[in-house]
Amino acid sequence: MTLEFLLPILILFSSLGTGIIIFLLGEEKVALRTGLNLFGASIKLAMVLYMIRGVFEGVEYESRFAIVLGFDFLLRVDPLSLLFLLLSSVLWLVTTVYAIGYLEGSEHRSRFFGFFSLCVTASTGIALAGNLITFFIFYEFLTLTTYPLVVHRGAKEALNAGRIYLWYTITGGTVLFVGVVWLYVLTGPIDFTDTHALAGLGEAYHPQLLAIFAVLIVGLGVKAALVPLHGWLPVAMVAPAPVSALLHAVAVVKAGAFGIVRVIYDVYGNEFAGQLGVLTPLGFVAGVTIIYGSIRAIMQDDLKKRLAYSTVSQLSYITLGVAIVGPVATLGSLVHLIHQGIMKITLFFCAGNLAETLGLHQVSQLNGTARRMPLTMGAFSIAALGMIGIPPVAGFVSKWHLALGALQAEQHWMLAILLTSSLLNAIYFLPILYAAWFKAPDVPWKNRRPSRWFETHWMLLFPPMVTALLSLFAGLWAGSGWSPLSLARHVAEYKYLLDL
Amino acid sequence: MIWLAALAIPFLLGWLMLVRPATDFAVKYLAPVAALPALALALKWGRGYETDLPWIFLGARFGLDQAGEVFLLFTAFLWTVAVLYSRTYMPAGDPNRDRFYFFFLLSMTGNLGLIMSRDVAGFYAFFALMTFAGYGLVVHNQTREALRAARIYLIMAVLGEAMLVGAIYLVVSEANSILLNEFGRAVAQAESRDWIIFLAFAGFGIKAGVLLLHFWLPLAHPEAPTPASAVLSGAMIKAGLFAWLYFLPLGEGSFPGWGLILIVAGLSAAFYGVAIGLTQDNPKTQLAYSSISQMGGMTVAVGIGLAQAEAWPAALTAVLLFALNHSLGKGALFLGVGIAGATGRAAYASKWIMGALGFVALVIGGLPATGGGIAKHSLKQAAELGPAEWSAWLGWLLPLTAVGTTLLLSRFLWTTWTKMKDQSETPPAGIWVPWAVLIAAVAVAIFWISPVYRLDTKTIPQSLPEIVAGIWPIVAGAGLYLAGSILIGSKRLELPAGDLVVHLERGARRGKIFWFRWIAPDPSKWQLNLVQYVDRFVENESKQKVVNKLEVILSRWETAGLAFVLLILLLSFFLMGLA
Repeated sequence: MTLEFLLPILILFSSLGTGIIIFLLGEEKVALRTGLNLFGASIKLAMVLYMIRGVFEGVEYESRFAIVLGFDFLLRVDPLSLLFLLLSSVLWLVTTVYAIGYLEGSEHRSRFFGFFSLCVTASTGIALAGNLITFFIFYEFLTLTTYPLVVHRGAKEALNAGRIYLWYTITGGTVLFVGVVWLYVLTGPIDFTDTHALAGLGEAYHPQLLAIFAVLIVGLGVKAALVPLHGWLPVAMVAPAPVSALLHAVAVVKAGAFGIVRVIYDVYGNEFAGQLGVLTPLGFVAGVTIIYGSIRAIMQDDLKKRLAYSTVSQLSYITLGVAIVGPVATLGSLVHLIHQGIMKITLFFCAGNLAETLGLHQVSQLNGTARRMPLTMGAFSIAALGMIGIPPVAGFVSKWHLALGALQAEQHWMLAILLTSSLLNAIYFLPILYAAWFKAPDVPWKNRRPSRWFETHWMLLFPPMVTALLSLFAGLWAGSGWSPLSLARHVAEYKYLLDL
Repeated sequence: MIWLAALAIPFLLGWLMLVRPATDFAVKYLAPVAALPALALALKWGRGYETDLPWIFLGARFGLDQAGEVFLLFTAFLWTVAVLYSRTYMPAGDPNRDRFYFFFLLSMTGNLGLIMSRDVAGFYAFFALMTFAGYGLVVHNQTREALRAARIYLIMAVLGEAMLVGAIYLVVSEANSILLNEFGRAVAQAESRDWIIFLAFAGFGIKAGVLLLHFWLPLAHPEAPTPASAVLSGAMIKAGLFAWLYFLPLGEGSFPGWGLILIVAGLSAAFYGVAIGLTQDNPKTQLAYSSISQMGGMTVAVGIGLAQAEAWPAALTAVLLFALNHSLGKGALFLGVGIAGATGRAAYASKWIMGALGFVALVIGGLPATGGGIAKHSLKQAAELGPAEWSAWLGWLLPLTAVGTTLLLSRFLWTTWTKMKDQSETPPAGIWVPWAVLIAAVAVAIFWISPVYRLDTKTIPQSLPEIVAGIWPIVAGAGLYLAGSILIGSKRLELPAGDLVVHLERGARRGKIFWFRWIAPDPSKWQLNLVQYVDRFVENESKQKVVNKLEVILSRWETAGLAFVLLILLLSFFLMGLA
């Protein structure tokens, strides 16, 4: 039992244990539950940071258990897992703070936080999974643990959204399972490290490998919200704000995107996938998704729905990036995994604040909101400008690498997609900023202020401010050694075995 | 680090404007010095000095080359004057004063920073900062006109950003570098050269007021408060020009096709700006059209350098002199409008003010032995080095643009004079002192700058024909104006400010109607929810009936029995087959 073996399990357990204990605690034990939540989230972040240092020094963390049929339950840490782990642990911490503030005084908090922790466990497991079967287990676990969060409010609309969510994700999961089994039949158990296993199979297997690729991508594409499999995402936004925030930033949609990254880099191998000719169609689907999502976002007046369609669009940048063979695009794709997370979570936090503090849900109601809630709208503005790709916010750094990667691979049409998408982003974000900052309020705001010092409860205000600053600094100090870009560069170097 | 400090001062001061108790002090004592560190860098300490800061953004490099020094000099100077001017112009009683300063200082940071940046990522970040903070200046008055101008400004700015960022990606991937100095050569050899030139010319051209992309400018520049108009038209408009110096393959090869496009675009803007400007009634709008016209002259200079590599050094000199002269001069004219507005015609000061405005107009018009004359002369020299077949007609057309400039500025002077109040009010010292300093700079800057910044120019005309060549367009322009005002009198064609924009707005309205009628009548259109299709199938009554009927048939004992017998038969058949 070495530390290298234990640490991945401990990280997994930091949220799993929290969740289980919370279930056992009574509804009324608020202080204990809050303390436990924050403790779990902090200890996890600390362990992840420690592990990052270890991995940079060359330590290999791996826990392997044999399960049935020669499958291994494998938790293994590579730079790519770290990237996702870091995102999930940082955002878990801020979202926990936000959720505590958001749900203050409401019912079923024990159930909520329990499943919340389990959901984080699932995304941690997805990050740590060392082979497809382990990945699949956590992928399904995620579906089941997020359902109670989506329907948390229990209203008819929420239940309906939950039903649609389950239909999509369970079907997606089944399709994914078919792909995993088919691959197993072909190759036997392979880990993510055996990248050359498929390339060595020979020409005769290529049609089958093509089909498996399609099946896997369809299975993962449901959660990654690739058009036309995205339908659940805009519906699921009825969930409470912290859930939407986590869903759109790290938990569900990222699991799909991360899965696609894994399949392309660690199952098929980037170059082999390129030879098979599967990447161009995938890039095309991603391109369609980017444009379609943006156009649909423009059509929405419900703020959260607009943000949801924006996720559909922005998330596919990641897929677009992995569909390009070349280190620079990979870098853009990986760094966007983080950047999209911190920017989108900010936007959802802010939307939650507007709904919770002022009772505003529609874009057309936002006139003058910045006068009442300057800090919230300030955070919103930073994140929205980042989404459009205005430097120096993080989104620009992602787009920069994606665009240069596309040009490096001579895929000029992708540059056109990226530029069009930026324009469309501007069309659906800038009017919000304009209305909030420059228009006069339509009606006087309610006088009741939830806090004496701040524009809203401090637990609702600080998380978006922190993530907004993170998105700003991630861009502004992209060149420094501690930025997401540097971490992503490390991953890309690892994947391509070169110096970037 | 000195670069960061010079930029951090206006930037942080801008944010200080959001801290209510501190703003009075900051506006009075801190803001006026905000651009001074940058000015010091341009004058001495930043020259020939580069700093790499790899941990910032995508690897920042700050520094100044020759063009950067000159641009930074006039930009920092004009901002300093403008901010001093605002100190009195924007009184403490103005409820939106702090917001104005916030956007003013951030635009300043952007404008100074883009000149100091030697890497394209930093350049673009500051460019964007300037553009988006500039929005706050245009929208400031929040009247209907200001809101309209600001909306059009923003739409054009975003379109421009999309194009220029496209140019940036293409250049960086060709140059394999983010350093601006390496772009020209890379573009000259690039496969996607035409795309890069097109995107850079149009993307930055929006800022520079290139013809057909100019229509936001006569709306936005006059709508801003006067000190902001001065920097918009004097300093920020030059950012597009500054970018061209790096994104276009100047001096790295001869591209007569693109050169011709730029020259034609520049000359057309020069004449078109005058023509439309003459129909305007608002002095600030007239000045904005004059800016379009003057930027046309600078576009011609860039075009000459693009057409003929050998002509570029001379053309660059012309560009720098032109930019310097126009920046200070146009800044002085805009601030002068504010001063004239605060002056009664009956006051003795009004004569002085009109005299000073007249002097600046003459300088911009190209009076020999002043900045304008020197700039015009250097442009002529560059034109002579350009392609031989063009220099003849350029030799004719360039003086004609000077005629146009004088014509338009004569009208501007007259309009300003007639709009003065019939009182004997005098302007407060807080606005005329900075303005007087600026006018002094208009008079002397060019003589001082040429040796210091290694610009190869002749400052004083040396022969009678040269003097005549410099003066006749001015005389002709003023004469035309007099003749025109006598002949036409008050009957004038009045065109809306922004000319073409009216048609574009109509088109946009139609587009919006089309969008809401056909594409997005309600938010749920085009929704793709696969579960709905399943639901629809399951809940479809006729299909349910079929299923129910099937169920009834299957559950009859006859059916079950028959099926059972058939299964037995099938099974025994297989078993026999196996045996």
